[in-house]
Amino acid sequence: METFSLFIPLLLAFSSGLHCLGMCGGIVGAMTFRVSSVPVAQRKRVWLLSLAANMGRLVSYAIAGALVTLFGHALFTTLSPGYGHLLLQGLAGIILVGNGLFLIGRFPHMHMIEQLGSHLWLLLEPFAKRFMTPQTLLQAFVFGLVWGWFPCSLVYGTLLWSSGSCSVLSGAVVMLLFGAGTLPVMLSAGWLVGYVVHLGGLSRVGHFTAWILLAIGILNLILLGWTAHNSRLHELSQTVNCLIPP
Amino acid sequence: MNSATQLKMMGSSPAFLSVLRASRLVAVTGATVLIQGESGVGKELLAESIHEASRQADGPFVAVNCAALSETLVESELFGHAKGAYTGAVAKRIGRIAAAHKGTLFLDEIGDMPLSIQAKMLRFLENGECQPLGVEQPARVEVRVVAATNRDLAALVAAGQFRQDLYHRLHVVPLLLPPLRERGQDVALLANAFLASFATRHGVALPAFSRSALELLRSHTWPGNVRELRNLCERLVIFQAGQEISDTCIRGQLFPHAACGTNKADFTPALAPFSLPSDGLSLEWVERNLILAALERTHGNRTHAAKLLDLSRDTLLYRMRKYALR
Ligand SMILES: Nc1ncnc2c1ncn2[C@@H]1O[C@H](COP(=O)(O)OP(=O)(O)OP(=O)(O)O)[C@@H](O)[C@H]1O
Ligand SMILES: [Mg+2]
Repeated sequence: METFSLFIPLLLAFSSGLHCLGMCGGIVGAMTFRVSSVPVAQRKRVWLLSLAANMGRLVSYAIAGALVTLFGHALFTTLSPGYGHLLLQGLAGIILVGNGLFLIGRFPHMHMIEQLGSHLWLLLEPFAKRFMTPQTLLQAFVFGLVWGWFPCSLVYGTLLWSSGSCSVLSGAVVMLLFGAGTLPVMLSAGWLVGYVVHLGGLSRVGHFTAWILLAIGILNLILLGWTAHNSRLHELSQTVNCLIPP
Repeated sequence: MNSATQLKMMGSSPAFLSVLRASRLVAVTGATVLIQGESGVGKELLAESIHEASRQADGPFVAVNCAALSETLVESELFGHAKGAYTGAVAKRIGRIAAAHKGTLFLDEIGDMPLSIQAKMLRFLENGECQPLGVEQPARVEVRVVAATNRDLAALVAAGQFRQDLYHRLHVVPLLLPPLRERGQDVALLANAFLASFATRHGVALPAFSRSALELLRSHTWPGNVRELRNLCERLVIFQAGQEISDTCIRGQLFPHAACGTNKADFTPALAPFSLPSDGLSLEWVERNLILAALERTHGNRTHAAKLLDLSRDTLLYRMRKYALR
């Protein structure tokens, strides 16, 4: 299962490629618009700006991953000192299945989790606007830090799943991996957006990985049930959703 | 600007809110925005709200309907012309692009822009220069471009009906407004808001939806999206003032041709907008006048007029030719 833990965030990211492209590709495009409307010589600058913004986004993801894991553990071990961890992992497994279903288009209600971040976003939006046209790489990075909290069902879904991680560090790394998985698409967004052929290809890849995720999610739940059934709870932290043991 | 656009964009579904959030962010950048979505989803309203949230909000918002432009006049309409640039150009004319200087140019129905104009449009988008007909020196204009279409631009590109280079210029910030049927809770929210605003406007008592009516609204597929819902609500306010609106009543409004149980007879007379005079009338005369009325209401916009009459644009054009209307 450890290798699964490594691949799940990447798979989540790959299958969300198209979704991200729609939602966030435009934001990147707008952010670098001033620069990119100047001739070819500026290509590299555009690329550096979006790289800086994406790095900021990844840092925010990692922070969020650490926070939810910390919070998840605190909450569930208080709720049930003995089985808190098990409950949390069960929940994470269900969330993974939900993500998979959402990605293959069978569970639109998943979109509702965006509501979780809408209030936070109201607070952050003024900052995002202020750095929306960055002149320097630092400004682009700061924009990315804010942008990382933009309400998005896929990010939030992964975040909820990461809250079941075995350690705070593991939660952070899960989100970092997820962010890294979105980079190929996001960094090429400027060129990718609009290339019809690529879009078609991406959605096929996305669909395929979504099915794999669904399968892993179900397997995850079965394994969890099995572990619990055989009272091998001490093995739990090593089996599911654990990149870096506590 | 008609009174409808004074309404803020409403909605609380996640699918709608994410587009709105993204639009508020990109508004401040001045980047070219391409709004896509089915007919009546609110593309024009979104374009206006982008203008209002932008740094050029104090500047003009100039809307150009690319589908309504005739190929012969489109160039001078968009780019302007000098006095005497061609026979009939008796005075200098400022084009729509120049009129949008320091503001927003809204290119509506961009998918219907004639290919011949697309090349010149591309040049303008690339270097911000606008060259009126018969003028040597192009003028620099500072214009934020927002384009919208309900057609599948990518497919038009593939079919060779839309220039690929222009498509890439426009496709910097794509915003996809989801159809109303995918916006769940928005239907009830919008319906109630429309009822209230029309009741106030027409000065009648506010009607209310029954539970079953709201369920029906929610399950309807809304091919005409928000516009369809809005028109329905206006009719309901007029016909059902102060009453409870049942699902049967809505069904009768949504599918006037479908048989809908015993109630149909009850409201058909009230709904029928016309009555046949005792000495009869010419149906063609009625049709001709209705077409004229629709064109007048839409300021000559044929695409919109066709929508008002529930005709395809081609059918409308055919009938206009039939009655020698221009
Ligand atoms: N979110 C909304 N809140 C309130 N009114 C809306 C909303 N969306 C659309 N409307 C109203 O619905 C009607 C249709 O909207 P609009 O003209 O913007 O649609 P459109 O997408 O441009 O349609 P078309 O493709 O036919 O041009 C307008 O009267 C508009 O005011
Ligand atoms: Mg429109």
